[in-house]
Amino acid sequence: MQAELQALQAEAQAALAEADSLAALEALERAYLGRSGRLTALLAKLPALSIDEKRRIGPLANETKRALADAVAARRRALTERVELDATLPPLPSPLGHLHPVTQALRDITDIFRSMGFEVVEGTEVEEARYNFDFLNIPPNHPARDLHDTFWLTTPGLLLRTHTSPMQVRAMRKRRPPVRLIVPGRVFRHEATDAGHEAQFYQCEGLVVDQGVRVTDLIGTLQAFGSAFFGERLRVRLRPHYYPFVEPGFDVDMTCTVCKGRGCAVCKRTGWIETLGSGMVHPQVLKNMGVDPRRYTGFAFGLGVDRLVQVRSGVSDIRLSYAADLRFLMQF
Amino acid sequence: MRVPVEWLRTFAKYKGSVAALAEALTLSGTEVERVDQLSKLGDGVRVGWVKTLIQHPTAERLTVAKVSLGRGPVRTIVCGAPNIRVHQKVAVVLPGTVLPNGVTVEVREVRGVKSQGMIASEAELGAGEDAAGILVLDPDSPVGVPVDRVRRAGPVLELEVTPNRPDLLSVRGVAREVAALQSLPLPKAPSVLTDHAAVPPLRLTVRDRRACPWYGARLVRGVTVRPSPRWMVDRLRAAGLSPHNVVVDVTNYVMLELGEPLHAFDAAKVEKRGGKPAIVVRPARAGERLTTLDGVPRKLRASMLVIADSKRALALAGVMGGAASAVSDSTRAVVLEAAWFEPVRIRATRRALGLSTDASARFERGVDRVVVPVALDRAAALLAELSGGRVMRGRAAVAAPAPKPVVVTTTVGKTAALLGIRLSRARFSSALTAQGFAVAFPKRRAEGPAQATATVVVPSWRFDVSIEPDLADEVGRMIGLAKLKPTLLTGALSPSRLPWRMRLQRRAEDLAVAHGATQVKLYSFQPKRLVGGGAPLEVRNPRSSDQQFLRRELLPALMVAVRKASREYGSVYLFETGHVYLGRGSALPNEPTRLGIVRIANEGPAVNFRRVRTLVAAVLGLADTPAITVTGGASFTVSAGGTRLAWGNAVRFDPGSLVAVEVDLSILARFPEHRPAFRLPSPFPPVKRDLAFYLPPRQPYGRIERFLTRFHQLLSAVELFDYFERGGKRSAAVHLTFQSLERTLSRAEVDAVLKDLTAALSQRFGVSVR
Repeated sequence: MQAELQALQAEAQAALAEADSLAALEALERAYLGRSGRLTALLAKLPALSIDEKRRIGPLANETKRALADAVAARRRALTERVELDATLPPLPSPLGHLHPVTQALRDITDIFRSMGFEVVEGTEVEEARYNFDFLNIPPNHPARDLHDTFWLTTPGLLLRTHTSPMQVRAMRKRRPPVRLIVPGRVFRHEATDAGHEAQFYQCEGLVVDQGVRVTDLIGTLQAFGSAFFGERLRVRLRPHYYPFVEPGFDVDMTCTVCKGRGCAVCKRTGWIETLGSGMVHPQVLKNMGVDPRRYTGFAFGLGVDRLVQVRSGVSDIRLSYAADLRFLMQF
Repeated sequence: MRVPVEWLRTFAKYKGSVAALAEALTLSGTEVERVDQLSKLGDGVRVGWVKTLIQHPTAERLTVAKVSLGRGPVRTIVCGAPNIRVHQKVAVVLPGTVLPNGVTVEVREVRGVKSQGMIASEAELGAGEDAAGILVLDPDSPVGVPVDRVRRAGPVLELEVTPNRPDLLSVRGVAREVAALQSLPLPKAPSVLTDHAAVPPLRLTVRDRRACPWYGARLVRGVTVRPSPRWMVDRLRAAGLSPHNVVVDVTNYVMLELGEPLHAFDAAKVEKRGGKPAIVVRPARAGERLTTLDGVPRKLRASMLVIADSKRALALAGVMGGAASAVSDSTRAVVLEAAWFEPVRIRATRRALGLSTDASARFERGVDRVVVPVALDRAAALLAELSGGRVMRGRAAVAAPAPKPVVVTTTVGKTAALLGIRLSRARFSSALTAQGFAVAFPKRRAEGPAQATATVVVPSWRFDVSIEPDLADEVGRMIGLAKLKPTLLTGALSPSRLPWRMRLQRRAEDLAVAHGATQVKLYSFQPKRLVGGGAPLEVRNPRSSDQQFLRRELLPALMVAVRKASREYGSVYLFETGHVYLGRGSALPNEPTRLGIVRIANEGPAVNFRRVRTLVAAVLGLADTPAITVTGGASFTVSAGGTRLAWGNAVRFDPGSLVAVEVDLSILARFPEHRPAFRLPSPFPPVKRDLAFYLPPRQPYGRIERFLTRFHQLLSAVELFDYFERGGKRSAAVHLTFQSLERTLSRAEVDAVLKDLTAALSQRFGVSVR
């Protein structure tokens, strides 16, 4: 009887797999599981068996019946739910809009520095001349003011900030070291626009003030940032440069991520991309912050956000960012 | 600053490659922007003479030149440069030559005319940055010889000199830097004349000793004004200056060499006193007039300083000479002047007149006081030598005492700590002395080597070093910043979140993107018609009148952008997040962050509005505000508890509509962040009914919905699922959900509420249920 059951199950399952219409399936169901079906007939012989055999065959018989019922149900589902589908059809247009690439970069920058313990602070875009210049060691008549082509407002003493650095002093007047903060935001320069220059663009200021802050900390922090931002281990190179509010001051280059430092058109064949200005906070600026320069040192940097976008996404012209050009924006 | 390497090598005996030199300078803080190099082109670029020049037969902007190269046939060359003229000497690139930019010049047809070579610009030859026109050579250049033999310019370094390093505005200054980097002896200035004690042949009066603490002059007689010798012409040209005559050239040459601007007067044009030319340095009289060397008559102010004789101003001190006293071909005696002017004065004069010169650029940044008399003597001797004249004995000078050298004290330990390196006392000292600093340590060794106080005397040409970190800068750049190994910050951190206002902005932007809108970033400055309502802040020096005012609202410019984008894309959904600027008198303006949303769609205003309204609702829902109410129609306001949070309008935009909304995120951020509070769902099943009705004319739907939601406690939700306007009638259909937290509702119970509801709607609003 055991053999009979097993043979019947195998035969029925093979037949069910062949059934290609609901009618055929129902006929098979009747033929095996119906009132006068073959399994029903076989099971009818159970009462005649010995107690021992009942104990052995009984569960097997139930198992067979359940298996066949499941197979019928599965086949029925397969037959009723079947559709025709061309899976090579393209997706529908995305219902999503697009986040501006500068916003995306600003968020990445913010998130990376936050993970290193930096606080995020905002400033106003219209600024007082004394915060934009004087408190940063750039008095009136200082030649460095010529480096900042400034948009002045008709309101005396007010201007459109030329960098995010004014927030260094503003933020520090409300804080005590140790401090790590960044200031992302829009800045303005009155200069001729070209593929690499715009009258408005974005910077992210960074400021660290603590005891014993060193130039090597600046290098390490920027290298860690660059590696996280570009998603690959890269090197950072410092070149001495003059900024009145830091001493020593540096321009910072990062390995060109386009050519991996071998030299290409993007990096003008130098293998390096100039990404930001930085340096150790000038003692006079620390004083202007209300910080004692004999106890504390610090570093500051100003990242050019648009430049980072240009390098990371291969954008050839910064002006595309502010032209409301959908052909550009929809790529991000 | 352009520095010919050959000239540089006369001061610093640097033997390595130019590329290595450029790298070393760049990495130590003097950025070499470019190395110009003409000489390696060889025989492929020759001097040509433009024999004839005609218009190209078919191209308006092109000309066809017949160019002679001496021997061989005359070549036909098509040229597009605007500055080509017949009978010019030009640089002809022969076919087969590879230019520095990688282009190979070949014989080719240009619009039907075969061009047998190319007439090159300075930039194409790698000799400079002028790409606007062709390089025009000296008229006396011999035809047919390689150009690099005529223009003997070897490599030239184009340096970016930052305002703190005026000492690098001279060849000797750059040579000092090279010497320090390469451990070569510091270059000395040529010192020539020793007759300083003699009675000078000039009289000097300085009326403002603070504005001019040092003024000196010499007289050179028997001068023949003629062209300068070849070597000087070549160096001046390579450095970017045009040669004039030996007198002017000598003043320029010594300025480039030593960094001290000089000026030459025709001695015959200077009034004499007691038989000697008499010079007065004095403030200009208000309104005094002077025609400068560039031929421009200028009106002076009392804050400006002039060099004058007893009658009139001869020159604008530190900026430019005057035309009347200029050296001419007939000049026989020359007064040479050298001075040190107060930088702030010169800068103010330069700015007031908008007149920037090589002289003003140096004076306003700072000239080494020590080099001023040296430069005067050097120029006088050089002029006498090259012009056939002789220097009259005696140097006239009016000198205030020289300022004391700047002394900075520090310790090796502090310098090492700031840089983050280990530093020996010897390395500290050598980094500084190589540059001309004097370093002294106390004899006795009471402290450890790192704690000993170093006394550092700053050389007279370094105005930028006065505090301890300046010394760290100087040491760091000499030992090489590449030696600094990156470290990570250490310290106690406290956790912080992104401030709520910024979080709100991020989430609002994400919602806008999720709803299908694309973010733009527009200009903060706009023309007056696009800044929104109210008096805008004004830019004093806008780039154009289209950028004269600061925006008070995002929407006006955003609507222009969306209309423009719609021309190409039809339906467009844009948003912007950014500051607007609300002036507050002389104080800093209020700068709220706004979210501007505009949508153009081929839909009626109701549907378009509702789509935008969905986004606005989601954004407002980020904060816990009192209930939101909307008032108005095609122009509407969104408020919460009397606070205006958003506003906007809808207009027809064929074939559909345009809807614009501006949300004030700064005001919204004053409400706390919304945190959903869980409410237990009812275990009992809801009963759903639909209700369709016409809205009475001018009856806002919102009032009816508000009435419905408050009608009965069992009526738990009202949802508009159909709304249309046809034939002047407005139809609305809503799903009503009835549900109790305590029991399963009976049909009769719900029907009773519905009956009351229908009656109330009819009575209260005149609404008849369909």
